[in-house]
Amino acid sequence: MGNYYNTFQTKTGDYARSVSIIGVGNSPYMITHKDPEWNGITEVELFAQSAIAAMDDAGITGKDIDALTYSQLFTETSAVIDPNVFALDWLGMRGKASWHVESACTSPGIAFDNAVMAVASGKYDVVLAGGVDIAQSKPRDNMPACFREPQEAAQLHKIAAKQWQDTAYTRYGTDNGVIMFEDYVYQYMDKYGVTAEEMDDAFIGLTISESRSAAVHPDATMKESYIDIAKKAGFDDVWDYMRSFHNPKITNHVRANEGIKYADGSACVIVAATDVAEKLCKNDKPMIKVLGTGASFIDHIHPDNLTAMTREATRQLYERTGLTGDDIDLLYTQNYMAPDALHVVEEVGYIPKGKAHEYFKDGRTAYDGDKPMNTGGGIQCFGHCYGAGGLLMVAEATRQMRGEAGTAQVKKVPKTTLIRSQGGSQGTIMIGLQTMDKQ
Amino acid sequence: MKPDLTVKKYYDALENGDILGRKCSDCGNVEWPPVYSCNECGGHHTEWIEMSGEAEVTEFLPPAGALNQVKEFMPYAVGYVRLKEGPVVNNIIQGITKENAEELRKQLPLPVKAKIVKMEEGYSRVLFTIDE
Repeated sequence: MGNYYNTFQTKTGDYARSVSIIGVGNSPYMITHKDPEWNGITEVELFAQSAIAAMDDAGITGKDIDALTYSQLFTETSAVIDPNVFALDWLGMRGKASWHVESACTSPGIAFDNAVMAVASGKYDVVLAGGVDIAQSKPRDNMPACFREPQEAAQLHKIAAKQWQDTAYTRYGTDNGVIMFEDYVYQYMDKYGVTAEEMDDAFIGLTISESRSAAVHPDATMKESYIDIAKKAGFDDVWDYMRSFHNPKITNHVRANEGIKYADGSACVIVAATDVAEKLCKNDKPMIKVLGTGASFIDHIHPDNLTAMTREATRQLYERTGLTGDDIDLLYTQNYMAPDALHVVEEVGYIPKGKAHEYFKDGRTAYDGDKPMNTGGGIQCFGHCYGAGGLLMVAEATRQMRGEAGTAQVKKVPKTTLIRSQGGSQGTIMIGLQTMDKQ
Repeated sequence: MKPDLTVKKYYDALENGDILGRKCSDCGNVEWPPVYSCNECGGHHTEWIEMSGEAEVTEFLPPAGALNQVKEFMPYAVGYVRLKEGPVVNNIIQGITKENAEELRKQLPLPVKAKIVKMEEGYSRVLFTIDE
C-alpha cells in the first residue's frame, strides 16, 4: 500500500501574547443513567460541575471569566440548540460571549484551540473551554432533560451514520468505518518486517497498559485492570485471557477490548493570558503554558487520512514552536482503535520508527513506563465521551505536569506534553503544553 | 465529584407544590429557576430556598389571540414578572384578556401569584396569574 499525503501545508503565525492554563476540572466518566447517584443529571449540569471544579482549581469565579467555548456533539439527541447559552447562567456568566463548537469528537480540541486563540488575540483575558455529552441516554420526548431514557450507541450512531450513505461526499469509510482504522498496520508490517502475531501482541500489550492506568485513576470507567479481570475469569496469565474468546478479533487486527468504551462525562479547562494569570490565580501551582496548536481536517474517503492529519498538524506545531519528538515527556492521543496509536507515536517522534510494536508489547507506554502515554487509560479504558475527550486529555496532562495526579502520576513529572485530539470525519488538533519555569 | 441534580430536584418539588430557588451565600441574590451559580456576583456558593410564589408584573405585551397562544392556558398575556425574592423572568400571566388589558396596564405593577400547572407529558411547570 502506498502513502497518499494529499494535504496542503499551512504556515501558522505566532500568538500575540502568551497563554496559560489556570484551572482544570472533569467529572468521572460513567453511564449516568445506570448510576443511582448520577441518574437524572442533565448535560448542562454535568458541564457546570466540571466548570466550577476548574474555577475552584484556579481560585476564580464566573465573574473573572470573559467567554465560554462549549463543546457537545450530540445536541440532536439531547434535543437542544445553542446549549452554550444555557450553560452561562449555571456558571455565573450571564450575558457574556459564548459559542458552541461541533466537529464530531474533535469538538473539545477545537473548543480548546478557540479559547486559546481568543486569549492569544488579545480580545479576551480569560476563557473557559468545556465539553460534555450524555449520549448513552436522552431526554424523553417533550420533557425536561432530567427525565431520560437509555440510548444504545448503535442507535445513536445511526443518526450520524445517515450521512455515511453518501459514499461520494460524506465520510466514506468503505464498510463499517472500522476497517480503515487499521490501514497503517499493513504499511507498518511491510516497512519493518513485523508479523501479524507481533502486531497482535503489540495491541494487546498497549491495552493491558491502558487498563493498568485506568485501574489507578479515580475517574475512569474501568475500575480494574485486565490483569485482575483475567484472574477473576480463571486466567493466571493476562496474555492468555487477552488472546482468548473473551477478547475475540473483530477485524483483522483489532480485538474487542481494543475498541471504544463509550461513557458520559464532562471536562473543562480555563485559559488566561499569562500576565493576567499571574495576578489572577490565587494559588502557587506551576503555570502550564500553551506552546501552540496545529490543525488538519481530511474527509475519511481519502487514503491515509489519519496519518496525513497527524503529520500536518504536528508539522505546524513543531515548525512554530521548535519542538521535536525528543522534547516530549508525555503523550496523549485519542485512538478509537488501538492500532491508531501506531502511526501517532512515529509521526510525532515519540518512539523510534519501527519500534512502536515492541514498546507497546513491553508495557513501556503505561503510566509507570519510560514512554508514558494516555494516563488514565485512553478511549479503550478510561472511556470515550464525544464532546469532552480532548479537554479531558488537557486536564489530565495539566495535573500530571503539576505533579498532582495522585495514584495515576507518571514517575518523572513531565515538563512538555503533546496531545492529539482527533475525531470523525476526520479532524486532528495537536496541542503542545509546557510547564513554565518559576519566575 | 458528587452529583448535584438541581434540575430534577426543581421539577420533583413542583410535584409537591413547592417552587424552589437558590440563594447566593456570598451576596444574597436569588436565582430562579435555580442554577448552581449567582449571576449577580459570579460566585458559585448557593443554597436552596423555597420561593413565596408572590410576584408582580412590571410589563406585559397585548394578548396575541388564539392563533399564537397556547389554548390550554388562555386567556393570558406574556410579560415581565418580578418575583418577590428578586429574579425577573419572562412568563405567562393568566387573567389578562384583550378586553381588560388596557385597564390593567394602568395599574402596573400588578400583583400576581405563581401557579403550578401539570403538562400533558406528566411534568409540571410554573406560570403566573393575576392576584385577585
